[in-house]
Amino acid sequence: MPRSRNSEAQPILDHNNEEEINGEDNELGIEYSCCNPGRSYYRFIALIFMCLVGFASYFCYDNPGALQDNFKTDLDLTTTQFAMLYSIYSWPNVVLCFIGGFLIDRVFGIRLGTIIYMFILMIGQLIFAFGTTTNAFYIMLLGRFIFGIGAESLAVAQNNYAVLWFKGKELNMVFGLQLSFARFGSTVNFLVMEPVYKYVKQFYQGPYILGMVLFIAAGTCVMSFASALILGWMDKRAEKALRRVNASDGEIPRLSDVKTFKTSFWMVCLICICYYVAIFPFIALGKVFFERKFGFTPEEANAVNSVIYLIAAFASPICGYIVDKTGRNVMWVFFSTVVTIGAHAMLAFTFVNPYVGTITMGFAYSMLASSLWPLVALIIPEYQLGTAYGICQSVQNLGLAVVSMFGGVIVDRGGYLMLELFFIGWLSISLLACVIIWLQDFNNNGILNMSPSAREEAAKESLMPISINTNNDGRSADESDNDNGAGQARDVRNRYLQRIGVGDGGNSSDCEPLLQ
Amino acid sequence: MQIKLLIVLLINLLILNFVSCDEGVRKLEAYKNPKCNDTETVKCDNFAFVHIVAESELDTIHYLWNFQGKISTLIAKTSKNSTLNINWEKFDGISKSVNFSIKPDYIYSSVINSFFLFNDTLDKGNISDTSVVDIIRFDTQNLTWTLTNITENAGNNKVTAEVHTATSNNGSFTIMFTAYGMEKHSDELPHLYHSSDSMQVDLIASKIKTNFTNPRIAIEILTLTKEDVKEGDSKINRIRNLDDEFTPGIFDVYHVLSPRSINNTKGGFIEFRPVCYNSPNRTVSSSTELSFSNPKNFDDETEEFKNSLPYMYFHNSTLTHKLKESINITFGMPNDGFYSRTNYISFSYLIGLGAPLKEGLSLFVIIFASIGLGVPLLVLLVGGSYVAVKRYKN
Repeated sequence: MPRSRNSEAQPILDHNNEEEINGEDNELGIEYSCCNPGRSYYRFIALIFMCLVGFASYFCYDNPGALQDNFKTDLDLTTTQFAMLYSIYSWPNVVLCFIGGFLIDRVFGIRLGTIIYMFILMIGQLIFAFGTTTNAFYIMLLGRFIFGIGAESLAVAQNNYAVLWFKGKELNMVFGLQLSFARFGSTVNFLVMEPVYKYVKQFYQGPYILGMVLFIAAGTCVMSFASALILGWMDKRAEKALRRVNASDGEIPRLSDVKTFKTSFWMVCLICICYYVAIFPFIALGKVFFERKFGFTPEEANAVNSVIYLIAAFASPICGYIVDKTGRNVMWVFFSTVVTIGAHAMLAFTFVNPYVGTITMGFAYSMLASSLWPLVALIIPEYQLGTAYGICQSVQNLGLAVVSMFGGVIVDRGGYLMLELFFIGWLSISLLACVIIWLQDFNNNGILNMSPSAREEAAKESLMPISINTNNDGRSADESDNDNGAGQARDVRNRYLQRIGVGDGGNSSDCEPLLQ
Repeated sequence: MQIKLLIVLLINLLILNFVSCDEGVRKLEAYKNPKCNDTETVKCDNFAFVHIVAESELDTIHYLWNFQGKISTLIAKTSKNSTLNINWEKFDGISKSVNFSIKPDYIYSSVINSFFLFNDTLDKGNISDTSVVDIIRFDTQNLTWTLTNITENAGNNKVTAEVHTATSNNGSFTIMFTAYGMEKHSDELPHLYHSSDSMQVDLIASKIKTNFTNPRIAIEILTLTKEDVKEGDSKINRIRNLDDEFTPGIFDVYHVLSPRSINNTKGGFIEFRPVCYNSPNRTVSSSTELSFSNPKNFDDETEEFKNSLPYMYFHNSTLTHKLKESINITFGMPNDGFYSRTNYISFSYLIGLGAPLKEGLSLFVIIFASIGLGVPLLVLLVGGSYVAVKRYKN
């Protein structure tokens, strides 16, 4: 089960520049060096650790997948039992990501949150390894369950770290790189585990082999845990040096805030469900489809199947850059969805070489990821972003868990053509949701689908004493949903400005680390 | 009263019309060892012969199934009201012991000649591969078959006969022949699409014991048709479908067409999908593929066909001129874990007269596809015009 989705969120736009920060650094009297929290070197060292924090999660997640046959034969697992190792990971996270995200916003904060989630993940992997060694299936399940709690919430934390450090800078690129690194972790796992297994087999027998292999894999967790600690230390240092204020201007995120989230946010959630279920479960079931329909060998089928991820790995940063420059996120989401429908239709209704379909799908998927996730940051105030991204991830997990379950049944009962139609159906719903966002945005001020320069323009206009950020009803876009009183108008405007990336200084910062 | 009568008449007409329009429907009648009487020389219990008469408005198809000696079937299409005559005294393997009261328009016969168990040392999944050395042959005439079951299913308009043979260690081969009276997808995977002019063969090889490290099962099917050998050879046609609705995961259908079937619809054919199943519970995950040889001309006419229906029907001298071919089918594909993975293989194919039925996209698929692709178009249209109107007003 692919999990690249977690690191695709790319909130906030690119407006603030480097010099501003460096200027402030000089005022602070901090020297130029790689250890200077204000310097880009420092940020990129932090980026390396950010990627490393996620590595263990992606590496260990697919351990069973890489050793599928060994799991089944050494431990006598049935296919159903084996599948449970993955579903026990997904199902709890239908709820837990949301809670995990909220806890980062409200209780732990980003540093402690990351360390705690990483620790949970590590414990989970150790329990899983222990359960495997003793061939106790329920302990294995418990391990995977705990691992899942840690991993998915860790992904939310990773999103927040990226926003914290790179908002208004190289954020899109950073998210792209994180996505690439996630793919890298998963690929390394598939390449390395088999040789490791063969090596360990010389010394151990029975379940001990797999147990030892998993303990070795847990080594990556130790590395990631150390990265989380270092990252925490760097973040603390940056916060002090740059006098970053973490508290948002008096606003405390509450669970009940969820009720005030706008329709367009829920539509984004709907797209999160409907779009991704047409990608990941397709890849999971795709191998046999390519073998049977196009007569590919298992190796060839794997290759054409993995092209989607391969393209996502290198195209995501590029697509992020394109969206950054052109804006118009809703249009890109719409465009990506239409192209994905086309790609699926091509695979379903023609015998054209499937590489055409999967390559097209790979690009469309990268583009969607780059344009969809920033929408959340344009809709939801920053101090609630953890919760919002948590919700997105939760509903996505829900969709994937349900559809993965039904996918196999559909293939068994109705075949692959029916499965493709099923996916196209989901994409149609996704398209509908996108059109609703578009129309609603069109009826308001159209901020979601503006080019960057137009957004800047709109932001400047709204800086005027009399808010121009109003629609025909005379109410601001935020107000119309939040129903705030007149006294809060200024807050609302500030939040709005933050979201579109043009802060009005002073009290606007929710959690912008390097911009104080 | 008169109106009532008229309505009844009309309804009757409608029903009759409906039935007579449906030329594909045949009425099936099954007989075991027909008109056989025990005499001093004939013991009817020794025979395992089934005769199915499939009658339509226009013609009659006779399905002859013999489960004794070589497992064989002979399908004959005649004009209506023809009868089958069997000389039971000479029935056991003697030529011309079977004939029809009216000379058939076409005959297609097929023999399940042998099962093979072989060691696929290089995991090629093909018995014809040069690397295959160790082969155990189970000639069907040397196995003792028991006719376990003849079931007539009036609802589905079909008749099934099942035979079974036990090998050592609880192993067994099972063969089922089913004749159909109407056009339909069969109930079980691979849901082959049969007409009322075709029958289905199901084969099961279960728990066949072996010392081979990489065992696989294969079969040899012989065919003998009414065509003269000069008319040319049979040809295998591969049809690729977009729709795998009825056989999930399988997009291909293969037709082994007799020479006359290639040119027009007057010949006969074997139809199969490249899939077999390694578990009694047939699903996509229990499926594996198969490989097959091209039809090969058969020179030694009498020996292999002896003890089978085509031999009993055709005269020795006629047999020489008829088109006789053999096909091998190997069950399994590379990397599927061999026969020993589950010690079970089942496979189904159709034998039919005329041309194989063509399968199109089902109505369900068409409706679903139109909705799936139509909704985005509609959305585009409605959304676009809304925005256009709004812009225009502003």
